[in-house]
Amino acid sequence: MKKWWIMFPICILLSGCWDERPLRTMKLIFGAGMDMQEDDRYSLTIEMPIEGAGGGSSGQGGQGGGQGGQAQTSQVMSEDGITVRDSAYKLDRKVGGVLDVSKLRVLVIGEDGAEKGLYSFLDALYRNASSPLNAKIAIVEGKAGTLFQSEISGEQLHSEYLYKLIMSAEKESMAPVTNLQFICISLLDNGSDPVLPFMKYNEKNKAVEISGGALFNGTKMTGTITPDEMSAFLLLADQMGKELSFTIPADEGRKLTILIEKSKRKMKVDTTNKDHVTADISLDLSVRVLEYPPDHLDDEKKLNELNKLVSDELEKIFTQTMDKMKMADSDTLGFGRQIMAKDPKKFEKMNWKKSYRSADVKIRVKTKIISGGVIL
Amino acid sequence: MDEGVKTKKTISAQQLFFLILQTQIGVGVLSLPYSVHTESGKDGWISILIAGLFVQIGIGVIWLLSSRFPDKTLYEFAPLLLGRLLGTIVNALYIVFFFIVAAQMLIVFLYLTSNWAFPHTPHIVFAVIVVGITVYLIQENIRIIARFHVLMSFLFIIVLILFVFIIKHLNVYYLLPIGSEGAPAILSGTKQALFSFAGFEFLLWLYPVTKASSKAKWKAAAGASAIAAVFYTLLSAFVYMFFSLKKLNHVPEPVLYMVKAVELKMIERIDLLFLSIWAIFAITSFMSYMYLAASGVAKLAKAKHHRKAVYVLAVLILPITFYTANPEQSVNIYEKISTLSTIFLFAVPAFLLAVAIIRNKREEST
Repeated sequence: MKKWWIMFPICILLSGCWDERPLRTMKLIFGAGMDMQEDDRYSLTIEMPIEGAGGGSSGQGGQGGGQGGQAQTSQVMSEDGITVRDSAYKLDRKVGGVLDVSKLRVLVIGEDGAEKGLYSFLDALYRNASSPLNAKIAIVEGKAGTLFQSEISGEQLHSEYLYKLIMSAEKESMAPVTNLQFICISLLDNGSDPVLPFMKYNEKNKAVEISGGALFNGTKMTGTITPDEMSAFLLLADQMGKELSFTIPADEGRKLTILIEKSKRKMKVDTTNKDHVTADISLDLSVRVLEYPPDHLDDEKKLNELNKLVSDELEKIFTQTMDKMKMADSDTLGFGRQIMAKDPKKFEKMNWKKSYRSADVKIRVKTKIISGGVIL
Repeated sequence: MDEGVKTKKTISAQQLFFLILQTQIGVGVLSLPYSVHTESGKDGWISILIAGLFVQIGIGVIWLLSSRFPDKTLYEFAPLLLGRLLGTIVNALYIVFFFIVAAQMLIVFLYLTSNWAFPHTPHIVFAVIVVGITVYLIQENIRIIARFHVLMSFLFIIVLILFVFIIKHLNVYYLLPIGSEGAPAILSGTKQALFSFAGFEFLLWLYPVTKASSKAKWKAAAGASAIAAVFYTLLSAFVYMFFSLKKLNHVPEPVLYMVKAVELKMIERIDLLFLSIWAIFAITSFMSYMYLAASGVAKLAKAKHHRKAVYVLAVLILPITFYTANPEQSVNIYEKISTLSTIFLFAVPAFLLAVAIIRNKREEST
């Protein structure tokens, strides 16, 4: 330990300054929106927080001319180019400081762009070692650029807001748990297709709402599903979040809201049949009743009836969801992957995307009402 | 004559175990699943497992050979077996081989650090840092090197913990059906994987300096390789379950890419954390090979200590860093070394063993 002093020169020598990235020279991108224009040009919209202005109305509120007393805390810019990178460089020319994407939280893609193919938007991000592959991704109705321009009441940073929105949707089983990395794997998998959260801007409330999911065939978006169908899909795919609720019509025009507590899914894909594939999905659900005005939940006969009603209604939703996914040619449940695992030669021979439509999917639901809350 | 210094039993069987393990697990870890996958697809993990079995045979051969000369390293008994001239040539070839392997490791190391973490830092800076600490350590005797390698082995636990976070994202269906790529593909993948086990030949030099029974030495070497095999197999199985096959074609360093997806509450960019751990694995292997090369040079030059040889090799290896601009070149070198390695790891020891048996050469421990 005689040479302990050698620590100090080493500390100085080991820290290089070639790759330093001081925050003061950087412009961090928190949110990004990408669109495809009619002439196939990529347009990129980015949102950057303004330093020193975040965290409330105090501080240097004057920056950028606050409107209606509220300080402007973010800067939104938009540019278009031949590739995503091209637009990014064009933006970089306008911004004081170096654009940095490594803190990206949310990436929003416009519907039109997604329909033309998602991968070309993301390629540049996958190539960069410092890009944040755990950022959330969502598809938006209309243009992603306009989403960042539009006002959202009560929120200062669109990206922060969208991130929280998606996170809570994931928790409540309104959106699949995914990020840039996971999406890429299923985009490039010919045995399964991704599902992404789909959202739209709500003019009346000045807010963004998750309006279901976007279905993909390969890398192209081919359809959408409603929030209820999204929940149904998550149950079918065994990807339920922390909680999941449904509102279904009960007897005599009354409505019943239930919460799925636990879900057990079994999926079996049968490839023995020559010309078509059959799949059996059985779901075992434990249900809690959240809202049901005529409360007779202590009556066993009534309970059985209700059980039957709930499982019938759920089955309907499941089948409807499945049909929609088939119509969109979106093999979201990864049947193709299972066929490949069981019989790779057969998979090669058949045109899976064509046979997927005619695949025979049987869904059976068994429910058990376990509790009606704190009252019976 | 000078055996008083050279044959001292200075390291324990445990230290032997960690020395071999740390030498085996090196720069190749990050890209192993990818390079094997190019041959044997999703069944690459089977290839790696089979490679692990082959390595056990290789270790058996080396152990049989070394136990015939319990007080001598390969540099010392090769002249005895083959005659002075041929033995010296074999030794020189081994030295060149070790030096090339070390150089290749350094090239891969520099390429990956610049590609993943430090794009603007000149290669020479990292080269000097890595070579500098290597020289600092390996100018000492093997016992001190062994202590360092043991000390750094706790990092394996951190790697395993990191992998726990990935388990929930794995998809077993990517692996099924097992073995569908066919035996030829799997075996050619095995050929790719063999080089990543390089390091067990260290036993040829460590056998005489380890203080343990002959059987314990075999156990340590075989155990280290078995652990490395399990580690590699697990790692690549994880990668194959994480990425779909098509995606894997785009990702030459899938291990880093995989950990990128993990997000812990406090830490982002776990790939950087992983890269730092990997750097230590890479440097320990680099140290081992530099030590082997240097001690060989010292032997050839009949020097008492290998210290001067270390300095010479360090100066020689630095210019190689200017040669790293092109990743294709380094892939090319890798392929060549990979083929070379089967000769030096398997063929030569087997040949020497055959000669020893035919000429009935055997020495007793003093």
